[in-house]
Amino acid sequence: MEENNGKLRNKIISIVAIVFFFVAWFIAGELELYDTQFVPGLGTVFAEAWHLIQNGVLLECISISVFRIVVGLSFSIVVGIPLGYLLGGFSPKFAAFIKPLLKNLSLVNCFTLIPVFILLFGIGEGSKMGIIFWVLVFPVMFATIQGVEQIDPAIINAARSMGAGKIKIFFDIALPAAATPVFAGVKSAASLGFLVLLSAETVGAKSGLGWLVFNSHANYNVPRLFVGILAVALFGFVFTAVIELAQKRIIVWKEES
Amino acid sequence: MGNVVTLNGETAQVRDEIVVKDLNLFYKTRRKKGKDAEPHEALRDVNLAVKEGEFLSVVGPSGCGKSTLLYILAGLNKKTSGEVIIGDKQVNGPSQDRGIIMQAYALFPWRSIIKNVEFGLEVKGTPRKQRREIAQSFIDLVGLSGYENKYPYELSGGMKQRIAIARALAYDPDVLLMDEPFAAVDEQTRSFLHEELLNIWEKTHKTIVFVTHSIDEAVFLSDRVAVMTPGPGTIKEIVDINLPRPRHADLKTTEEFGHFRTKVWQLLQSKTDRAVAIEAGNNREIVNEPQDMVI
Amino acid sequence: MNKIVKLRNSIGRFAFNSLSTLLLFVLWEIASLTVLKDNGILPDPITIIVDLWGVLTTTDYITQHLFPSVRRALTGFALAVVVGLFLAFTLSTFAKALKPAIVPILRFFEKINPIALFPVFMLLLGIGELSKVLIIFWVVVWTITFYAIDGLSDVDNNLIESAKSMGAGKIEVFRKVYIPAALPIIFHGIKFAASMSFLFLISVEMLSSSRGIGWYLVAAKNEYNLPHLYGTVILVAIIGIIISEGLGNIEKVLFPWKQQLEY
Repeated sequence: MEENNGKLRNKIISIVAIVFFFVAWFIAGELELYDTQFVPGLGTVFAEAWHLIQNGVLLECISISVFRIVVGLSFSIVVGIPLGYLLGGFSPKFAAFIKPLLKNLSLVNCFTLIPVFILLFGIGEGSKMGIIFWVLVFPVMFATIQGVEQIDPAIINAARSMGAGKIKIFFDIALPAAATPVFAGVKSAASLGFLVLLSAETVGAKSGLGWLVFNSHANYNVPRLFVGILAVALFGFVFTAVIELAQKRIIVWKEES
Repeated sequence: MGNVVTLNGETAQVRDEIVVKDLNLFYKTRRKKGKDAEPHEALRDVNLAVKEGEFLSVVGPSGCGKSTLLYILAGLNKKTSGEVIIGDKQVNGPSQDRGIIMQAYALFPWRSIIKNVEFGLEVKGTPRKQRREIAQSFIDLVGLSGYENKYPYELSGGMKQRIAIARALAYDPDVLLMDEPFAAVDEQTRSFLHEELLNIWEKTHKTIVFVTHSIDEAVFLSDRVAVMTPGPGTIKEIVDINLPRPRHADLKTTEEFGHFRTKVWQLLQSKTDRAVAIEAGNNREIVNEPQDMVI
Repeated sequence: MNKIVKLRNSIGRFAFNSLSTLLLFVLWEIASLTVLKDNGILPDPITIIVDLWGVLTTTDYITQHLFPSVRRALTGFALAVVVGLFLAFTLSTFAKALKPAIVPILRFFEKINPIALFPVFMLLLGIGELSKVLIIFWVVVWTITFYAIDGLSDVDNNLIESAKSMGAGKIEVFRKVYIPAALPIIFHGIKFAASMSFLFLISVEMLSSSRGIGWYLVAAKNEYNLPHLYGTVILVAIIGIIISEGLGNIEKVLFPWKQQLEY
């Protein structure tokens, strides 16, 4: 009870602080308490945001970025989990052999790969989804390997004794066992993935939130820049919340050690 | 094949559900200091016949191979030589003819209770509505109606074990194999589970092979008790438990019960067996003290 | 005797771990000479490495690009270490009461997306070194602060109590118990931050017009100079691995009693 009260209190403090910050920004802008050339007042930013909503640009940028992340994430899961299952559930020798390579690949600076992906796949959707896939597939794979390696052998024996074949064991045992570590891995990699997406959109894209931010900067359209910044912040917040929600909905059980 | 005299005085043929002939198991172990793997003889010349509908226990000290034997019957472990026939078919791997219940319950934590029980039926291909009904009936049978939508982490140890039993029964195997299922449960719950198990057995007429290191438990539950000795594991003798059924907890205080208990205990007490057990234990970094055995 | 065995074991392990990577290079080379010949997208590894070597030794790559990049990352990182440790330290000792109020604000700052923030820095501070160094500082400082706060708050009270019971005074307890106990986690955060700063450096450099590895990458891509592009990718990867492995080994030497979390 005590802990919950403390946490709630902290949450309220954070929310109040943030609201206060925005209110102060708004007032300072309206009253021109500072030079608004480089940091426009909140009112101006909202006005520009409304303008962008009306001409559809804001919505297009947001939805394109969402699309890219979702597809990239989905592919990384569809590829990463089976691969992780194969590595973690079958030959441990082969897994030990190939894990160092995978680890080295995962350590390659993903930002350096952005130009490479653009070169390989062009400025279209492929390069963005590809780089997100790259960033996320390794954590998903490693998490699956960990999850599968930790499965209680008694559970596998129980399933086999009931006649379950390899396919059923994959879908009904390995997948749920990997769920908890995979969510943890995705959560920690998601922020990096989002950063990489934005970075890719600043360098080689014609749409998307990253493009919005940098194009505005390049054109010295400061209010639009700030709309982009706020949109990015909001997007990040929603993205994390969605993953948390998905985790709560999917993982309804508690693992016992 | 064996004969049995039924209550009306007729002689009927009761087939052997399980036949184990000259079973041997070698497996490689790594010894402490040496680098090479030496073949370790785990089971030697095990011969066993279990009648249809019989309740047979296997007792022995830790390390004698009784669980290994059970897993071979289940088809989860491989044998080196010999024959294992269940229901007139050779055992080559796990199959839905058999069900195994383990000490660690092994319930799937991510499935609700009823979905746990349904698992074998899913493999079998039973349509959804029927699956639900069958699973429900077995949950009721083990006395846990109302818990269908709970998750394993919400259940106590005894309850989990009952669900494990329901799950193993649901797809209607002919044989139930139980590996020290009540070892992790407290005394009172265990007593209760004994009576439940016997109830279920009498209702479903399954053949049960029950592994335990508790002599009391073995004698109380079974028609016969097979005594296994280690180094390498083999069946020393099988004791017929001629106690009337149905059996209730107060049976344990009777003289007849004590007679059978002593008989089994004596079979486990042979000095050479104890020494062999200790040596086998030493080689595998386990030392079996006589007080491991529950009396 | 033991040390030699350990050394031999680590070399053996290193060799084993490198096997799969080497195998990949070999297969890549073979494929490039046969199936993938002249595909115009992926050159063969030997050409890349030879080219990279040539660039590093004959041109002014190192002075024009590598050094400036490393300097930026290092400066931002060093600044973040100083500020981060100072913040964590203050919040964990003198200003303990302020912690619940200030930490949420810091967390808010942590969540602000650096790529979105970078243009603002550029507007306010120009496109020179300062904005780049500062954004790297920004990205990394919160991580260091929170790891350090964690480490300092995590100190097992039993350790402090036993030291006190053995007669240690406040300053001694602080020096000999509090700091050493917190140090592994603080160092872990610093190690993580070092990798992050180098990682993020590339991203900001790709957007700026001065020299640097990130800039070089984009230039190579625009000129379609494939060996230079891939060569830089590999170079950055190697530097990154050196940083994280190097710090990892330092961590093992400094804190042998702490178990490490690995993939």
